[in-house]
Amino acid sequence: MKMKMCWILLMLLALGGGVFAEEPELAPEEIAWRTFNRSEGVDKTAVLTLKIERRGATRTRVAQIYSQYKDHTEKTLIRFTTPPEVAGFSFLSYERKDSDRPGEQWIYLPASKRVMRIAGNDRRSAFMDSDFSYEDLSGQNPKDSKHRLLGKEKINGGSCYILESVALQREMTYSKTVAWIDTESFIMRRAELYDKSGELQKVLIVSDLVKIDGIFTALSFNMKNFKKQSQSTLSFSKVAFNQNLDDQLFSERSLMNR
Amino acid sequence: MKQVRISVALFSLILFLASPVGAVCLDLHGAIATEMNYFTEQNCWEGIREWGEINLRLSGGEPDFSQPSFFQFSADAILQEDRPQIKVREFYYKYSLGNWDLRLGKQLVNWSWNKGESPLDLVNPIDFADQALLDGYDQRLGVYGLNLLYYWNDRVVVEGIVVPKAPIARFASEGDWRPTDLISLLLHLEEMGIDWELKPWPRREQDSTEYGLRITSTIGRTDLGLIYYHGYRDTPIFRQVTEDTGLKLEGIYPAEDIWGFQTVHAVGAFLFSGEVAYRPEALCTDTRRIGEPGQTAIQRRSEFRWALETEYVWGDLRLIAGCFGAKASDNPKTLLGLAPTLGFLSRITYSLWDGTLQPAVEALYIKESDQSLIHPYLIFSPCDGWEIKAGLCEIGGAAPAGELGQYRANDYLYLKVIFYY
Repeated sequence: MKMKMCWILLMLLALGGGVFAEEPELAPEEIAWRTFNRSEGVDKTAVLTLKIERRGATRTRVAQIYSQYKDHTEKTLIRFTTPPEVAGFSFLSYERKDSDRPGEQWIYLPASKRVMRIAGNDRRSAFMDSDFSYEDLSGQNPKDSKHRLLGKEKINGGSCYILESVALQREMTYSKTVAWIDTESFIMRRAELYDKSGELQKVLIVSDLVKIDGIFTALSFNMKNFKKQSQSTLSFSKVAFNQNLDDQLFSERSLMNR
Repeated sequence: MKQVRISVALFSLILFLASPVGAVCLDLHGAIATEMNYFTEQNCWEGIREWGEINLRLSGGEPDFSQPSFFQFSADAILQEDRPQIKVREFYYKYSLGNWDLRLGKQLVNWSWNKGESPLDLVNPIDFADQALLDGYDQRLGVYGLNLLYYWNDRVVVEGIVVPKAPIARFASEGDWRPTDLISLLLHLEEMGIDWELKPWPRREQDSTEYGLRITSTIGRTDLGLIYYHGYRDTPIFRQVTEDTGLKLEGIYPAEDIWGFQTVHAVGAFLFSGEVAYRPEALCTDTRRIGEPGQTAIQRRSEFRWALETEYVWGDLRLIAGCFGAKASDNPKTLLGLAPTLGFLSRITYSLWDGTLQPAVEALYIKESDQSLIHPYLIFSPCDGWEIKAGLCEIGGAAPAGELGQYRANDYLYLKVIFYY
């Protein structure tokens, strides 16, 4: 009888643990790595619209973008369609996700029908003259920061981890980043980026989270730059994943294919 | 020659109309530009102070890179004070099949990888009569021809081109601008007190077909290329016939074979590139040799032209620096027509206010002729579609000719307004 009671107690404890205990929290490093390595499929195509608002003027750039992720290398092909002064310009880049070295880059100049290898931008330089840097778009490598979980908060109805990442090296672009990371999709919904003197430099607000082809993706990224008093919005439309894009699309031939 | 051009253009048009691309998408772009120049006294482009240009670009084809057919038409209407002209820059049809790409019609082909001096930019002649400044591609003349490319393993590309009737470089119709070797020669003759007579500007021979082959390969972060090109000098050299009455000068366009090697290597934010063009036994004019009566002072010699460059990007700063030169087999100090013996160039561009304002400066020094160029300029883009360029060209040394032939005077200011549509 005693043995039976013990078994019942053990069963109740086990059930109680499963039903009432909170979901085990992820370690801050684990959250950072899951965000950094979040899968966006093997390849992606989209129409990219970049609006830059500065000193009362708005500039718009529209481009068709193709990307492929294979063997730790992200290959991106961008072909500009608007405004007219850049229409036809194409840009191809190879970035190693597991390396800090500048990637390989080529541009195609339609007027002279020439593909040129160009010196690689460092990751801190501005993406298409906007408030986004290349590093903002690809994310900071988690190994370069010390992470701390500040808590949880809901943004637009979605539960988020609040993750603080403090730079380990002085030469990093931001001294500290506080990010609100969706607990389900591991997409960053909001981020505050602090400069080397510890002042708030930029705020990123991510919206329009949708699931396309089974992959969580965000369609709108707004970056406010408090230092420059400007903001840029990056929007994606006609997004498609895993289109089985041909490897040859990410080649010099593809750039020349006009 | 005109018949060949018309045939090639019509054939390209028929191919375009017959292909499905015609119904898919037509893309119309272009630019309207006007430029004002302010010269100092040493003006060698007299009478050309203002000009306007309307560029029309029409392309057809699906905006998807994977589509095989594409059509391009590009023309400029140039409105100068006294010399209006319409120039078709491109008019070609392109088709891809498997690993092959074919381009037929009037086209621009640039085999050089350098951004400053380009010894292997062999296919398109230069239009020195066009007033476009800063935009090097504006000065290139399209050639009617067939361009065939084969992509092997995506790492090796074999490219062949045939140009049945290659055009020659164009010069300003007025003013006293001539290639460096002729100017030097005439000065030399004046100094020696020799009477001379210059025959009318020469025409190219009828059978001036040019052809070439290029093989390029990518190994890691290094690109390598080998080139063979059979062509004609696109600027004339001068046969000097010494007669009892004086010296008669006659321009000719000698055929030449060119072997080229090129490489580009990327190291982090640095890019290194180099090009060598070797002309074995090319005809040249030797300005120092005045022959006995009945002799012609023209000779053969082999010649190297080379250019080395490095490019560095640091944030919004882009720096290009390099050197270039030429060496001949008989005497390295001999004047090599349009080629300097040694020169240095640099170009620094900076992007301010996220591309709204781009200050830049380019500098050039040619040791042999002791010519120098300082060219600071500013590009202002107040809003989408509009661009304003303003700059100052300060040329030291001899009057602009040869390498500096594109510049119109020793000192001048210019202002250029462009609207893109």
